[in-house]
Amino acid sequence: MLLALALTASPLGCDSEDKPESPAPATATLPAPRAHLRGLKGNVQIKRATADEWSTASDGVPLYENDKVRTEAGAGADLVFAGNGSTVHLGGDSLIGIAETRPRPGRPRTDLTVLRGRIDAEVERPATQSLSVTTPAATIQAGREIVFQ
Amino acid sequence: MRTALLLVAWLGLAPAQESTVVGANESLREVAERVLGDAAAAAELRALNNLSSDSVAAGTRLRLPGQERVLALKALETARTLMAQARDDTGLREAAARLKVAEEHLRAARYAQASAAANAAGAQVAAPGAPQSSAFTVQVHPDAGTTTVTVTRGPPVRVEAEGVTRPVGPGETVSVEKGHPPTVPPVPPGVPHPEQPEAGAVLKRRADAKGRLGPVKLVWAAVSGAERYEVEVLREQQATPVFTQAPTAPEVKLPPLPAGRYRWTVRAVGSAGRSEGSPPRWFELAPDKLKLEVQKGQWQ
Repeated sequence: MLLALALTASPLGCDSEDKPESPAPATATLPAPRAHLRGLKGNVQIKRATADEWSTASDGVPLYENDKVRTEAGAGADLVFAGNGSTVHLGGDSLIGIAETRPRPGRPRTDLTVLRGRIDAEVERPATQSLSVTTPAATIQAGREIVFQ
Repeated sequence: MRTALLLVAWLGLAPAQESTVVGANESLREVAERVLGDAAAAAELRALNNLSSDSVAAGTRLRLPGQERVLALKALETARTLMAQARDDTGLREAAARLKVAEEHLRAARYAQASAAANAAGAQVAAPGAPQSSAFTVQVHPDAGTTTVTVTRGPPVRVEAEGVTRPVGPGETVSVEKGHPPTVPPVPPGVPHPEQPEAGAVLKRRADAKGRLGPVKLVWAAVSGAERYEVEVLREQQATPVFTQAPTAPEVKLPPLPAGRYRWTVRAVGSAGRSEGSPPRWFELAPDKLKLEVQKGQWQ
């Protein structure tokens, strides 16, 4: 019965590739979070890419591209990246931003901007993953070689 | 045509039971026990079905987790086994944290994330021979953004500035000033090793007119790159040094001191900075009793 319904609903003999392209529906889709904040200690604040104000961060809050996170002296937080399991510990009196990322199939990549303070980063599988950290003075790349295309 | 075939294939592979109906007087825990074999999985059913509590009306049809849950449970089990078999504590703390995250994902019915976190936990304590994770520190100083990169373990990271790329291996540090290529910061001299007197030595010396004892010579091994040394001598249970000096040679002669126990440390100073202080070394100064010898004579 289910099979019959399925076959009825399916355009048999007409592959999706065969159909003329129709314009995509104009629905806004939420971007996927790049990371989540964990293990907050002390005063940790977040500023969304679209916001003007800083707000107090909470545990597990998702981070999107161009969001910023800052910590007061003595505070700290872990950024757990959703794509590859990389973890970045953000130390006290620090300011970082989630930079734009360009993931490619099989080649996860994360970009992070450190404007002030200290991070302790860990890339779980450097043979297949990469972490790119940008500071005002340098760019640090860990893991597999990143090839810009 | 391909869509139809995929749908047929999906129908054939899908779990036999995708939903269940809550029985009369059946709690969510009882449903979880019945369909998933684990009463604690009630939290997953609650998350999966957007329920606000564990009380569900009889006759309610509940969505059940699929194959993703099986994979997540398997990943969690593997991670726990690897952690139990871990031979040392290296990475165990991080693995435990990842496992906790995986369990949180599982309870929230985020099975793909649970699998990923559990796999990461397992990899953290995987047996030697498994690919090593990469760990490094980036410090951005509050001046003009001078950056210091230190690699703790794993393959070298690449530090690029002003068109120059420098690989940085485990145990290495590079520093980058804004507008300059990466450079290896100068290494401060090593820690001097005290040689004389022996640790805990009791040094007997004659007292001078003021009752102070001496002389005592402190000697340590010369350090490459040291331009001078900083020596500190402190009396037992006192925080203020009784003697400080910065000789250029690896030895110093102390002035006469009162009897008692003393500790001393030395550090090397070079153009690249100061070393750490040497571990404190103790000695004791004791008065040397005079041997009275009365010569034979008319006064004997």
